[in-house]
Amino acid sequence: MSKIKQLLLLSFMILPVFLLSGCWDVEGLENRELYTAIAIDGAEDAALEDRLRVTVQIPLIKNILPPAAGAGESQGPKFYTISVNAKSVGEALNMINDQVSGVLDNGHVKLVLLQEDYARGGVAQELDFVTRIPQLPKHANLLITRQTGEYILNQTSPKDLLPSLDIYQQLQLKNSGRSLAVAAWEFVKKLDEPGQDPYIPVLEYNEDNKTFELNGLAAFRHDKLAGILDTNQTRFISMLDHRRNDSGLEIPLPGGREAVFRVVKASSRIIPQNRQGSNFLITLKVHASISEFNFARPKLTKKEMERLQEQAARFVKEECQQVLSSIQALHADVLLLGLSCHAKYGKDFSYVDWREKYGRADIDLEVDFTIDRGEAYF
Amino acid sequence: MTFPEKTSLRPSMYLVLIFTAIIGYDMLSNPLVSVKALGNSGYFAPLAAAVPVIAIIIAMFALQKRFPGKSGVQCASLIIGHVPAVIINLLLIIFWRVFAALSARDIMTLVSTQMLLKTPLWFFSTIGYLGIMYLAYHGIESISRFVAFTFIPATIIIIIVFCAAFPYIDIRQLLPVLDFSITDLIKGAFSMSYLYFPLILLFLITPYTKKLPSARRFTMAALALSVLVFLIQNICAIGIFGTSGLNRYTWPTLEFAHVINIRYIALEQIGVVLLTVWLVLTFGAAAFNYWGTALALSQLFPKISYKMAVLILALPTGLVLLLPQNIIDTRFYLLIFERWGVLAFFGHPLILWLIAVIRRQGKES
Amino acid sequence: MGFRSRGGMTPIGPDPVGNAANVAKALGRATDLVIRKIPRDDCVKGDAAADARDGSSSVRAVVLFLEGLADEEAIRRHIITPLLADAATAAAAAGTATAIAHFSAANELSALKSSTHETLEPLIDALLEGQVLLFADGCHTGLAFVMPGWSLRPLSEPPSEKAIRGPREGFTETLRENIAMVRRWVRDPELRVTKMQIGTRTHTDVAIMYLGDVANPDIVAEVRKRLAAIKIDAILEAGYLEQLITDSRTTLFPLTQATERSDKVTSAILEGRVAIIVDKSASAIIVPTTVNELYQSPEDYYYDFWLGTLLRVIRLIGNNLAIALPGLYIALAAVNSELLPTQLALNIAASRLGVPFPILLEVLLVELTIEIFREAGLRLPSTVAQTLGVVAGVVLGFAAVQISIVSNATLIVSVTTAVASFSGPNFQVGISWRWLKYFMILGGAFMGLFGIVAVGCFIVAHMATLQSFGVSYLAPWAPLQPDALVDAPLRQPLWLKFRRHSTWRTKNRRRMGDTRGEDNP
Repeated sequence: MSKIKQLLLLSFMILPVFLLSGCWDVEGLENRELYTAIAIDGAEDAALEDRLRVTVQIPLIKNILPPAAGAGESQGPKFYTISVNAKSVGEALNMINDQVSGVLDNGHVKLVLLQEDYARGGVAQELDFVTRIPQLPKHANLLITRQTGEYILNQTSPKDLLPSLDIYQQLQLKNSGRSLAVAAWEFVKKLDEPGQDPYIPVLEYNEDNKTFELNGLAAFRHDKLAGILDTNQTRFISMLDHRRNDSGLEIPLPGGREAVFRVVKASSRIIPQNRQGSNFLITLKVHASISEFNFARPKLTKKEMERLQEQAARFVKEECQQVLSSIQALHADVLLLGLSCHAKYGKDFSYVDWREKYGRADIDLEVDFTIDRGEAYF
Repeated sequence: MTFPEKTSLRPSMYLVLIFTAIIGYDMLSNPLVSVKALGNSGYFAPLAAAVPVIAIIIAMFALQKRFPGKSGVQCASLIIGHVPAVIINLLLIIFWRVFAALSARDIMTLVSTQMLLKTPLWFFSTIGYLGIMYLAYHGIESISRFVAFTFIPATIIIIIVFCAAFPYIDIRQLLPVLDFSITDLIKGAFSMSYLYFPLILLFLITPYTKKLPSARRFTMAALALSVLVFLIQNICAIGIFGTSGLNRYTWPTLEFAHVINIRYIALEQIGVVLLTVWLVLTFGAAAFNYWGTALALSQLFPKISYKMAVLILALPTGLVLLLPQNIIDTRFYLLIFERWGVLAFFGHPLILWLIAVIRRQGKES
Repeated sequence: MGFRSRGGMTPIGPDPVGNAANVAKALGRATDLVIRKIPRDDCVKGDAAADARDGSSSVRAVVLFLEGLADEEAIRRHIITPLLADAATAAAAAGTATAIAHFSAANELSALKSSTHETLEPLIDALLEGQVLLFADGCHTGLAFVMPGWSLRPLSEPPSEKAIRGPREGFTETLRENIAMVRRWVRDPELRVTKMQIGTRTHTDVAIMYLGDVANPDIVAEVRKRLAAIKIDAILEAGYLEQLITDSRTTLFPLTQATERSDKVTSAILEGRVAIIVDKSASAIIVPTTVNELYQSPEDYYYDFWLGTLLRVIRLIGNNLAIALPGLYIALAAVNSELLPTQLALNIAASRLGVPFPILLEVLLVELTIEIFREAGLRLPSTVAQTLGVVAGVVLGFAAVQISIVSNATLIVSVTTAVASFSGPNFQVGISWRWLKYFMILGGAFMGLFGIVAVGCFIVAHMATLQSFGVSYLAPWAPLQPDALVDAPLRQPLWLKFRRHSTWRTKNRRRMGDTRGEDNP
């Protein structure tokens, strides 16, 4: 067949396909409602069939771009929220899609908020939608809210940003210390794996300062919220769980003094001592730099440095042991001790009744604290 | 205008073609199979499956050495007689084509789920298949050029994406390393052997080179590179999601690419980048596959040229592509082919070579 | 082969006036044909008896030329004046057949190049080429002198292939000037120049240039064969030849490379490729060509390795942006928006508020407008081009955004694409990429990112089927040629270019010896 005929045949085959098509997936961005946060609360009347109250925060795109130079005035609210009652999150999203003028777009979800009280009842089925919608970012961050998610999503941020983006940015920039970011995929993975319990940071709206604050960590026992750890405990969890701690560390010293450390890097190793999972040794190596003494002492001698390191190690050990006791009491294996046991003993280790065994396990802690920089510096 | 179509292949092209054929076939969902057999140590499964494949490759090249200039289809006629060879080869071709079409359907479902939710499957499948047919129609020269052109950038991007996933691995989910029995290992090897089915195409392209030993070395290198990619991929998938967590996803490799979150990168999600790059490799692999089948058919029935065979195969392939209702149907049928395929695709060349050796047929070196 | 091909072998008679009349008749009594008769010496003296005789015998010689093609001053100085001066001595030879050598003796006619013919047809061809004809009384042969006198354009930099560094010499419309330019670069006896004429009516001179000991003889033979096979009435520009000798006539990818730069042609010849230069055309054709050549410039080698590499990479990025950016923009803004950073997605959505057209139509509208501006800009008088460019581009764009016909985002994308399309060193290639851009736009609009991938695969698949005079179009990437890959897209350091690339399958690959001196280990 000649080349021209081939080309004609090919065009004849391809062209109608295009002409008959309707660009099914095409929808301009201006016609999409990109919701950036979704909050799942329990309905006010729990007896109702529609037991969930789902709220989404949708940016108002007409107010997104800054006003032209010289316009002066603020543009108006940057977002609006829609709340519905439904049996499931999927149903709620369908209902919200019917209410908005554009097409609800799942591709830019940054935050998934779960109300604390509701989370105590279990969240596995509520989070099923996270992994079923391919366009939904798997790294959307989960947060537990003390107030209702609906209330939180209706508050504004002091910065000229969408509140959900503001909170997300805070989590991404820090992701350490008090502000641990937990992605949705991580949470769901821990639900699927035996013996692994997730944790989620806690978000609160401070009405006095009009700011969003990350205060603490919610520890889960499987998919049920077991308890909340405070901000101080959160820092030590982050050290034990191989995270950075940019928020620093304050070590109380005798005589009412205090040493403040920054750039605290911790690496921990969980060493199971037996295959039953009843005894663990956790070694924690901490490196930090002094940022302040609250007494005038620009230069430390070698002996003073060593004493300070010992005092810091002791303090960290005490605090960590308290935290470990707290999470054991909750029977929430957020540090994945069970996984460490399985990693060492394989099939010889059994996850049966693991949470009970975990609550009774003896956990020894060894802390090695090293001060990287002790000199006064500017 | 006056330069005729060349069908010789440099030995180095074997590396590119075979690697693309293997990786472009199933890179996204094999961790599901590997963890079923070997649990936490599932990353050993592709490695274990590759060991017997080495023997198959050696057998194929040995067969080519005995019958120089003859492809596998042509050898069969000389070894077991014309009529049995025609029957067996025809069954093999049909089996392979249906298998390839089902695999393509799996990929189309993936595209539909991840990228084009509302667009009808037949629409973009038709577009994709027309392109594959176009390339296959122009022969191995064009296919090898396409594959050579896309091989380096695509492989580099895939490896970069895999490496970007390393920080998300929890090493404890990969341990203990050797926590399986020999039986488990054999089962794992058997269940993962489907990854290397595209090697059957070696049967058809090996006569295109005069430098057999060199081509064999490059084929082994392609196999080694594929195993490395599968190893890294399984380590990432199991290390990130764990053995139970993996089962939530239909395409775990893509999902672990989705979890990568790099601040300040131009794109919000990396997973789709991996998918698009892999689709390019798949395009080349599918064209190679299609051409191979057409060539086999044309060798079986010499009156049909491979170009005509490309056109003849179009409609049946298209029908099989659109036959399954959904991914569950597709995977169900694929499983059957994956089990029986070991006999068809690996057994066939091995048995032919054994018969040739026992009956002392062909050139003995 | 010109006039001769129409048949007929008219012998030249002894009567110069009769011969001249035959020539005039063949040219349809063209008004630009100048016939200058050189009378006999006795006729000049006004011999009435001689005047009364038949006019032919009173004429000693006839000079013919076409006005505007021949150098009239040279004719006067080198032909007419010597002939007139010779009239007196020739009078002594009146009545005898004067041998042609008598007229072409060096001390009589000082024209440099001449040829003699015994039939009229080749002389008419020579006349049409701008040569000067001379018929002598009693001679059965005619002389043709090469004395070109048509206007020549001065050398200038090619407007579509500007360079920051490097020679500013571009080809002109005169074949011999262009050949001479290349000869000045390559002072090697191995430089072969073969001429042929193509075009039954235009008889356009075409020269093939290559290095005899380097270029692949198969490629050279193929070039000759394809040129010889052309049967056409006119070759007005090198582009005609390009279209007629290309390997694939239906592809939109250029399988030959056209350039107006002499350094580019020289560089290609030295690599082992073949150049085709066409008379009356400022463009030369270089074959074979691969896609790798289309973004390279000889200017890359005038700088050091770092700068040369950077320039190439920028050009490559520019070329790719020119093809893919609008399609990607549509795919990401209308189909796969989850890939865009959230803030960017919101900004684009905000900028598109109020635009009445769907994004595909909007992009096509802006692209079409820019194409129209581009074409109009080529033909605008230079005095108004700049002003109109500002008015059309800036004011119109601004106004269109203000009343929301188009969005800012689309305008940014389209303008960036337009500018990026000029990043390549070759204007013709930029036009090919424009076509690809529309395919990408359609692919992105219909199927989002998958459409971009599909169209991209189609394009590469099509390129994989192409070859240029036996060389794969995707070389050196496909087939993989490691020795040539070091020069694509990076620029290989000059001091490492020991061998020619294997892409062109040259006879002689050695190019350079050790360039290190004693002080530079």
